[in-house]
Amino acid sequence: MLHLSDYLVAFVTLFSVLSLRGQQLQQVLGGTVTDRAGIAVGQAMVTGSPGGRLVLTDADGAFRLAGSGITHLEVTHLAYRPVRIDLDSIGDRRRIAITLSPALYKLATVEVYDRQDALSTLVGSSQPVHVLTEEYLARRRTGTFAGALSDLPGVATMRLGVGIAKPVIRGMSFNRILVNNRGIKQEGQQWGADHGLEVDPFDVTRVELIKGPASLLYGSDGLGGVINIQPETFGAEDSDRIDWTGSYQTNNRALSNSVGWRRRRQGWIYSARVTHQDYGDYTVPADEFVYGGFTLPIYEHRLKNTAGRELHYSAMIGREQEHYRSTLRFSAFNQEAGIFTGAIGLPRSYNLRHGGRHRDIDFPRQRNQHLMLVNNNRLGWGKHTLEVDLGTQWNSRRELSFPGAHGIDASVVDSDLALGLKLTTFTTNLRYRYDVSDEYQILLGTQWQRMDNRRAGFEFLLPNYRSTQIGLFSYHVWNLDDRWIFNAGLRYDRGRHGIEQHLQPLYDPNTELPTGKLTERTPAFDRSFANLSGAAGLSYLPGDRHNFKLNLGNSFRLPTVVELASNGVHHGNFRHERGDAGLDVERGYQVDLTYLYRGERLELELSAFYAFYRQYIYLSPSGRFSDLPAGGSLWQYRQDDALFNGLEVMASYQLPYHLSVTAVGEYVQNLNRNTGLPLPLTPAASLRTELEYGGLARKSTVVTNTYASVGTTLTLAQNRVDRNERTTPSSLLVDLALGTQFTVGKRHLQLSARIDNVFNVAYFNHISRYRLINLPEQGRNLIVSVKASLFHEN
Amino acid sequence: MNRVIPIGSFVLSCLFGSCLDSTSDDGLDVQAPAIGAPSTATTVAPGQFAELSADADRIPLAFAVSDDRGLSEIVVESHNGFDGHRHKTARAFALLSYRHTLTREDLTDPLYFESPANDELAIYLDDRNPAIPTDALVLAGPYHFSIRAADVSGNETTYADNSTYHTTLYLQRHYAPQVRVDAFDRAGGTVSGELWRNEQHEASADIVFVWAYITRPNPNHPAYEGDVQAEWLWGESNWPHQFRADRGEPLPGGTRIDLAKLLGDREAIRQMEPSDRLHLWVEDENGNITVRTY
Repeated sequence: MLHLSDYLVAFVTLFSVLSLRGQQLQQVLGGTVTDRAGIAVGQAMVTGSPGGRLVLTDADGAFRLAGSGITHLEVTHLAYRPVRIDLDSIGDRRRIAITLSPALYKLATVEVYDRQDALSTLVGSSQPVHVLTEEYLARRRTGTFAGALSDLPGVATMRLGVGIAKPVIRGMSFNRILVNNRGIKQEGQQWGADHGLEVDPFDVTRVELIKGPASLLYGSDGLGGVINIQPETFGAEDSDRIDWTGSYQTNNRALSNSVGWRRRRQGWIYSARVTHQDYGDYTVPADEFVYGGFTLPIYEHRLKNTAGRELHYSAMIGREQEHYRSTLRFSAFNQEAGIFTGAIGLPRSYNLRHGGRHRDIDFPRQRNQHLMLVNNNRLGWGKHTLEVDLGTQWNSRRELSFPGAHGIDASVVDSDLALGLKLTTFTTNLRYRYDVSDEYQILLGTQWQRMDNRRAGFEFLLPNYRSTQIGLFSYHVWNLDDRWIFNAGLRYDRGRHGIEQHLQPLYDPNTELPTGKLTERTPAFDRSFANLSGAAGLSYLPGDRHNFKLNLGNSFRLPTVVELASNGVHHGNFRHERGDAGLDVERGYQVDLTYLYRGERLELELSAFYAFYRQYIYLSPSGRFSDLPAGGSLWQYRQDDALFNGLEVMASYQLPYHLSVTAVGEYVQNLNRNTGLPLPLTPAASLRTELEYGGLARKSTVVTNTYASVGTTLTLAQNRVDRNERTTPSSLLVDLALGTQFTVGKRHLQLSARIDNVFNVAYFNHISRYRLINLPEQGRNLIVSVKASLFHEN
Repeated sequence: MNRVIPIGSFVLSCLFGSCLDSTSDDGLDVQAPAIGAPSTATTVAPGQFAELSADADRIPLAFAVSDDRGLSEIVVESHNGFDGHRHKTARAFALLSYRHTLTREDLTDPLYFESPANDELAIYLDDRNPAIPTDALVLAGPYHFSIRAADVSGNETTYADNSTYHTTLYLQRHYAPQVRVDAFDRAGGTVSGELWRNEQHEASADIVFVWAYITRPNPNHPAYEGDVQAEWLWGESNWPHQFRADRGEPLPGGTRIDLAKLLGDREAIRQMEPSDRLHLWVEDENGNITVRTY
């Protein structure tokens, strides 16, 4: 077995070896950039890589670039698809002819970039992929990373208040969404509806979001989609910059500050960031809520004990040279967040009074920490690319509560820790890409992951366990001609869970004291799994304006330990949840169709999917009640066949007078083939429209990127619900946004303001945790943000 | 190529927008069991916020549960609702804890159950209840009471939609603190009466905590327990609580307390609206609580 020390040695050795490569000789590159008709493309950005030197083409499409160790050129232009040129295949490097194709993929603020890693262009060739820029994320930032993604078609956010959120893609969440953070699959306790995604929202500059099954390349859990958090980008050689971002939200008086540093010098790259967020109890447009037949007050419209504090930091050092890039990154996410006092147990009116302390974090509350140490390496030679990712993660989740609320006398336990879970994960990824020719690329890879989970606290839900998974895959892309791209792949996985027995003390319900007896909640057992999966897809470009994509995928997911071996009260769901040790692999068969259109004024993306899942794992009511204190009813994990289908549309149209309108619609539905009912927590259909005016100060060089917009989000009623799940009425929300950027020299100052829920509408989010207790979502919220470059060199 | 968009749109919407519904909705059972009054009564017993007299030997029970496809489980439960945790344990007293589960096999009629007349489910408040040892007395105070039910399909009653029957009972005992209000002058802002330890009972103990508070019910919601308008605390509670103060000024005594002197002249009482209620929560050293409402 590998220990942490082995990993550290591996990190340091690999990082050191890669960093000791020598300097390269100066070279001069030149050429022209034209479109398919041979017309020169001016103002195209040509970037040498590695090194980041960049120039713009002149009116004749010509460019000249000097630098050392440049192996690739990247050419980008707003109206064209980005192109990456491998200089090894170029004979005369002073007369490079580059042809650009119209940018089919660019839609409004969602852009697709060419990527530098081995998965570059492979995934996007047949599946819907959105790549989100730093600007896109900043305009939608509300305190959580997941919240910034919710405007995308097919993406929703599952929330616990305002500080804890996780993404839902095409109706799937929890362990069916994979978050790949700088190459490493992020592992926490993502199985819980009240467990958020532990990512600093300010420490994300580029995100790639893949909708639909992607487990072929990313492994188990990539069933519903993958969120790829990309490494940060750096400026040109010798660049050095420090940025500060601050924001204030009126609704919960949230104050956020984040300072980031990025530097590139003599082949070395460095970055660091510190983020602090502090928010108070948030307000809702209601002064009472009905629960359990009681109408309970919401004093001052403010939900008691929903305040939180966060402190995140990260640091990275790396070496980027001609044929390699190696980085070592450490990040820490620390969060303490209260849970609405009325959300655990039966709320009483006197429990809900504030005492005027809106920033206090009382019981119940959760403390979450996620530490990551990641080493990414990329070696390129000729047509070959080798990537190695090594990662170690330490995730700690601590749910704190009064023992008395759990039928335990406070004097017999040594802390208020109800449930503590510590998960340590070691990950190794290896990918090899071989560009056999311009028409054929091969990607081979392996992933290995080891997890160790330890529990603590006076409550029990999940036992101690150790898990190991390994996967091997082979993926191929053929560019058949200018119109057809075909891809196919195979993958083999093995996994094993070693689960320990858990004996839980029994307490006398009358005295709340221990009886001295123990009861077995989970027996010791091992489970092993194996799975073979495959996928194939094609992309058809019948003309410059159209692109069809078809993907046929077979995805899979190994049962998690919570599904196999949990046995306790999950207060997040008000019920006793019990695993089934006999569950098997969950498999999905999905067909995905995407149509892209780009005209002079209209840009359109239509996506649709239909999926059949064999042995879909879900929680089902048993028709019995739990024997445990405050246990509610007993729900059992089981698996049955299920169907999913849905449609997504995203369109933008350029109107006269610098006006543009964007519409995003999504609809997903599902069916449990055994019960004949929908699956729970399925997002309602929604349509978002946005009208933006970008005509302010267009000729100014000092004031740029000015915009003003008004948006509406119509969410339809969700009446397709599972057994024991309540329906949710429709809602219509309006938001306003305004932003601009001042540029003096190399310094930038970005100002933005946004008002969400302008009319302070009381509405429910069907997939919000607080929907269970009839609490409306956050009311009107003004968010003011400032981003300033404190230091900028080159 | 002009046909690409309409044809593509048509194919997409046909293939992927089709409704996923069960072939036969008739077979679906999504209705939870219903809990209500039995045929012999008009309301469920115990009633909402029932006060059980010091002489009561059991919690009265009268309810019926029905389901159109078949009942799976009925759970009758009562446990302490003191909303705190003890930091003192009096061994001579026991918290009332009761749970009785009726499974499908226990039911004569799988579609309907009525609490039997012979009180098979009786919740005794003395040692006939297995939860109360023979040498112990039940602690007086507020207790939660609930009736839950699930059917064979897994539909269950819930607190959220109020289909689970639940209420709070106030259990009074002779050995618990005694409360008497002789006069309640809302206009004058005064209350006269007495709180005392029943020294004639050997299990009584000194009063250690008094919490007086005024609530305002919501006329639109009769079940509303009311917003707290004002409150006063004396002494220190046996049941430290996370959401309200647990201690106040020293009590003037432990055996007899003059309410008029304790409460004095209170503007908040003069401001009480006709529907407002005054609650007196009185605890003794053993953890017994007497709650009275005026």
